[in-house]
Amino acid sequence: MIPRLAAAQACCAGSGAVTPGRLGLHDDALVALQLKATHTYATFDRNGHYATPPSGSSEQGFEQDLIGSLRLPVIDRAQVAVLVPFVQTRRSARGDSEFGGGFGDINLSARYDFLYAGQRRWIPGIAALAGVTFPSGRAPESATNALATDATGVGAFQGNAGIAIEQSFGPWLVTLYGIVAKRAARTANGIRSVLGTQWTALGSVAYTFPGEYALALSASYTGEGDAETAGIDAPGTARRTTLLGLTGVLPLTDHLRLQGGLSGNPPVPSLGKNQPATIGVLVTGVYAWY
Amino acid sequence: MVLRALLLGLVLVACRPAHTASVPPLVLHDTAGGTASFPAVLAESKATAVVFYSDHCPCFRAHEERIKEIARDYAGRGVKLLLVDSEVDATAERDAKATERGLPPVVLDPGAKLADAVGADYATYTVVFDAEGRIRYRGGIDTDKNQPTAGATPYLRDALDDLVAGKEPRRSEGKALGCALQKQ
Repeated sequence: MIPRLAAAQACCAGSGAVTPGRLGLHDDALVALQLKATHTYATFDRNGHYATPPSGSSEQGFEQDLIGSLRLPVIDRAQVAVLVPFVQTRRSARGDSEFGGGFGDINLSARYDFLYAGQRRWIPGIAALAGVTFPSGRAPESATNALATDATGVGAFQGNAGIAIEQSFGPWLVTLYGIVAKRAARTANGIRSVLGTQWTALGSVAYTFPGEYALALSASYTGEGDAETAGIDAPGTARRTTLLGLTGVLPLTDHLRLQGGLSGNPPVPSLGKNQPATIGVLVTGVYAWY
Repeated sequence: MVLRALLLGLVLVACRPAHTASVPPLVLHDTAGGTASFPAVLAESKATAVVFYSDHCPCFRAHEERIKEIARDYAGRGVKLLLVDSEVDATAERDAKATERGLPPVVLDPGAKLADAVGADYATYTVVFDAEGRIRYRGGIDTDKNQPTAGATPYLRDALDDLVAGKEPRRSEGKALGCALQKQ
């Protein structure tokens, strides 16, 4: 749900805990493999009502993301990243069960740090974020499986921009992100449609232990306006998602670290709308050069 | 107009001039009650290694044993090692704990005048002066960050070995890998 953005600095492990593609303060480049699995345990309807799925229906999602990030050689405060996802879904409903997937939507992103966290006591680190997601995955209307498990993308170009503010307080790192995403129009089954503008607020608090072990708690809230179909607003299509996460960082060497975490949409009515409620687990291996 | 201003700002940030190497006259006090008068203190040794300290930085903590070893190994070879705390919240009481851990006394640098003069932005950043006060090496202690390894390239030792032997240091710069110094 959170737009995929390169994420970079404070000294330490805490900065990359929530955003593994982000380069650390002295990192020049990194590659990462992120494995995710989610289970849908409920849904939020158009009015934000929370409901468990009907008996016999279930859904699990799997994703493997290849991530590469690079600091620009001349402008060392800037970094770019690419994320290549492979997406699979297992879904059962009405007595049918199927598994499908494929290549997802590729994301390119960039980050420019105007100020790094921790350099000034009263002024936080400030960074500008930008990204674009390509419709390289299979759009829902192009899915061929009966339960659409081979849908792996949104089906439209997405552009996003944002700002990140963070500050370190000794071993603590507090980060706030604000991101806005616009999606291009697309035509599905002869009808032109545009998804609503999406905005995300994300906050995280990370604590770095001696040895660069880190733990981070994060919370994000994503809102999306009504979609537009054939030039007309489609009421009741707006979405809301709240996601809570806990992530740990385990450094194996100065170059190699493992990250893992749990995340979930809290089962609280009105914190979600037109969205499945999921719980998930993720594991990421990151190798960085500095 | 806004875009032009933004681009100009980016260019100015990217192309900011490097720090000069001259050290202004400074009298700094250390946690053991001593003083270090710059630049006079530089003339007292064949070489002086100024290592920038940060109390909370994991990278610095990971290098403490190596710093102690360097201070011990080179003391008899005409090399002085000074730890300098240029962070805004530095106090003699806090930094005295470093001495309790076996490190040399920490020199306090109020206003980060010394750090700014030599371009120190990160903990473990080290500047090696010769007896004439010229900077002969600047950068990290070695190539390790938070986990010391046997295969690290010992930038600081290499520079000191070369200087003590009367040679030009084999490298004049190395990457420092510590935390950002909170100087303001």
